[in-house]
Amino acid sequence: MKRERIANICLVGSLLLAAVLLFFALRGCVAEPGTQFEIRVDGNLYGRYALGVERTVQVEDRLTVRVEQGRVYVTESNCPQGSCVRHAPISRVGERILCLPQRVEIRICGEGEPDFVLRASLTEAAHG
Amino acid sequence: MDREKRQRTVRRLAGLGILLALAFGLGYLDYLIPLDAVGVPGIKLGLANLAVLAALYLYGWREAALVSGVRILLFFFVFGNLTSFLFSLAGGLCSYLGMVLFRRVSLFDELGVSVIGAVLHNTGQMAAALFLLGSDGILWYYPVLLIAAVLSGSAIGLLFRTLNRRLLGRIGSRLGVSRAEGKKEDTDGEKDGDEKGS
Repeated sequence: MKRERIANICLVGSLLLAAVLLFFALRGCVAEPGTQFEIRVDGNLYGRYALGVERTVQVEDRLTVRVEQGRVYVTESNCPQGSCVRHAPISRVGERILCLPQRVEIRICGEGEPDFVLRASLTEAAHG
Repeated sequence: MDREKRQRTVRRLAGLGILLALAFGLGYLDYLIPLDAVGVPGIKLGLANLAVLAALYLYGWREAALVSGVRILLFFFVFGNLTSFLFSLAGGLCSYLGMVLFRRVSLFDELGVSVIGAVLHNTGQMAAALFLLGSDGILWYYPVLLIAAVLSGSAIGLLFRTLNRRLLGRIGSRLGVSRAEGKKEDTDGEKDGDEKGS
């Protein structure tokens, strides 16, 4: 086998291996159903909410988050590609939905303080 | 400047123009193709790297830097998204440095260079996102991004390698290629033993 081919195989192989290992390493850190979730904007905590309460959170003019039956998802977003809207609902500790253009992160967390709201600019809608 | 050198310079300029347009076009195509279904935002094929690879192999590291850098700037001027621009810049820089390095090391061929370019591009973007978003949540996407980068990098690299050997070797002089590709070469018995003279 030529040198280049061996080099290529080694390169690709080790990268793929690293990816797989990294995946399992990250996964090993999470998994239970969460009790609350946080919304962070520009890295700062925007609000922390209980998962058990059905509600709709309007994050400024960036996006809309909905919580239903312990699962969190994004219903609409002011971003070009909208991958956050298409993301599957999350419910386990460590899972997150990101909207990079709007720099919003929604993350599930575990035990902690009871439900409280940090910002006044929230619209809470009862389950409809 | 003697006549031949002048001609080469002009041709090189034209060639770079073509590569830049190609990079921009491919970049846009990239943006149109939605791989987001995977669940990872910002996942791209990295087609534009084909142009950077071409610049690197046909001309040199300076020209490759030009194609890569100007393309990123152009995207910013056209689309005006600052976040994307910063991500592209971070990714493009890491990717470029890696590619130049791997190109120097005669151990890797076009495929290897392309793969490392793609991988570093995603890694650079991941690092930028970590800074901008201020949380480690994005790290979750990294394994998927890595695999995607390896796959797309390999495909692009393979494509370029074929193009390079079959086509560019022959038309090199028309593009104002300045270096004789004596470096790493067709020692694998392919029929293209063409020297890219100038």
